[in-house]
Amino acid sequence: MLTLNNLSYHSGDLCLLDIDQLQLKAGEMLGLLGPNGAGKSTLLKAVTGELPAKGEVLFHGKSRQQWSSPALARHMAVLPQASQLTFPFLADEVIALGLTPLKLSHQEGLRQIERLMKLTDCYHLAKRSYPSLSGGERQRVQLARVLLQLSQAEQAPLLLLDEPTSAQDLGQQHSILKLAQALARDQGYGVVAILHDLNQVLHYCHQCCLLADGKVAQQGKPYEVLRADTVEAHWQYRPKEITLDNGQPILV
Amino acid sequence: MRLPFSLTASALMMMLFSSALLSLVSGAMPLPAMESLLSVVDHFSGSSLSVLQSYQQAVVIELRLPRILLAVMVGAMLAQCGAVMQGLFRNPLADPGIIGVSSGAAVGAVIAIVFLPTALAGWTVPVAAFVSGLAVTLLIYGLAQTRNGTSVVVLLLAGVAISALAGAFIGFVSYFADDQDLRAVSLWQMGSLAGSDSTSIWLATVTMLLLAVAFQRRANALNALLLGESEARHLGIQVERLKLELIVLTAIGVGIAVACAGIIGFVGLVVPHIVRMVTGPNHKTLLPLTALCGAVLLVAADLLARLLVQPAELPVGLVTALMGAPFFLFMLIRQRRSWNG
Repeated sequence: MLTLNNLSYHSGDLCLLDIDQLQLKAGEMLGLLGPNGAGKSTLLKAVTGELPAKGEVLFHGKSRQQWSSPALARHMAVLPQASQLTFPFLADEVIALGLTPLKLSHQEGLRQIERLMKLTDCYHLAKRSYPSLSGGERQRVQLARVLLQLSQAEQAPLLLLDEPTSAQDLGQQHSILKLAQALARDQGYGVVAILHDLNQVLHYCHQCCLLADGKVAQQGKPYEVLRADTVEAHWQYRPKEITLDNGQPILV
Repeated sequence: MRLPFSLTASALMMMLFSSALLSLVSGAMPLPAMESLLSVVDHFSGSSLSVLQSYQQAVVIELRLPRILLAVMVGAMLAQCGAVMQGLFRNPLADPGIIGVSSGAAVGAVIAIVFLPTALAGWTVPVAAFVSGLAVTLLIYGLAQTRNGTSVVVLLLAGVAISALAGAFIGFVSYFADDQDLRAVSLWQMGSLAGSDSTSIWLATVTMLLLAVAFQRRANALNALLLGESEARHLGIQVERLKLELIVLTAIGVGIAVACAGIIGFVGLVVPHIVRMVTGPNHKTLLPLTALCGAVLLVAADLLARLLVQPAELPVGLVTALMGAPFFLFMLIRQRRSWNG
């Protein structure tokens, strides 16, 4: 569903991104990894068009320019790391902003909002003022908004998650990743998630892409890419590899 | 706790009616309420229900009614422009007066008054006010843009600098003005509804209605913009176009308001803030309620301006500044914690 060819972005003389080829199939979850400054966020911004990167971004076989803005918004959404909303919207009003590119009746909109609030565990926050929520709660409200935005897609939608677990407690981290995994598995979503926890990548992602200095250093199945040697080469920390009884590898 | 839209709208409607009625009957010559209302009805329907003397009717129809109508339109316009600017800058401290747009518009108006011979009769003052207001809005918006969004500090400092510059420029232009122009110029600077005539009322009415429609059509997009520019773009909003449209529309509103009534500060700051506290920040309800509440505030402020130092009157801009400036300080203190440059 998503193909990147020769995608590059320069800021002055500095090359921030240089990707030869990267592909994501519908129903797959791709973990985007790399040390700080490796170009993970830059890559997301190049995909969404936020940065004027050179090269080709094909989404369902069409370049971004061939999509109309509302149609693209119904099929591609970004969960921001943090949001700058300072006005006292209620949480359910923030979620309702996900209706912007959709054409839903009022009733259907409310029904979807309720469904997604339950799915993202923020039903109890509905009437709370958004700026008063904790970072993790805000992120889940934003997740509900983003999923609402994608809820009427005609083709497999692409969900881009910018550090979706950074503000969450342990339980919420796993429930968010489980939700993303289920969306990919059951509804054919393509998911790209910037993650820092290697074990989460091992556990939830079908594919992983390790970035270093704006380039793809390694790419493939997480358990193939994430070996102690690779981790040490990029993070200057050598983890211990342990294989659990069920065959699942973990890094400690 | 929020109040529903219909309840708030009805309450504001009643407040508008009562403040307008109070304004109609109060002043150097107090008049009976019912009879004054009837003479307004007479004026519009051609009937003769009122038993007021003709000089009393003249006071109602020729002096007080035009001021009230202009106050309603200018108040509604300024308040909406304030609400839209706050959405555009994603900051509740933005106001046409504070960030210098009003002074910018006044520069254009004053140049037109002093240097263009038939200025007061026609379109020159409004057009000049619009053009210079637009130029200042674009300049300030450009200055305040940083990589992390709009910088409030730059916004407010640019406002200070531009207001000072505009003040100096207006002072300089005043050297070339004759006595009559000078009076007109000082009127612009302090804001007054005394110059209301049918031209200004029509101009303000038509502009206010067109802006209200244009803003309302963009209410959803404005809501999305509050999430941040990238988020709005991801929601399918054409952000650059939206921003340009909103800048031009608010410059039209502020330009026309300044051309009709001079610089009236703080209406655009105080009103949206109050409405947000009562019914929430959703622009779909915020914008119409802001228009109503702005009308109420300016009618009331003008009434005070006429009553406080009877038989003379204060410029209404002084009254709104007296009410609004402390409010602005109060908001600054509340926001202080979240500020870090």
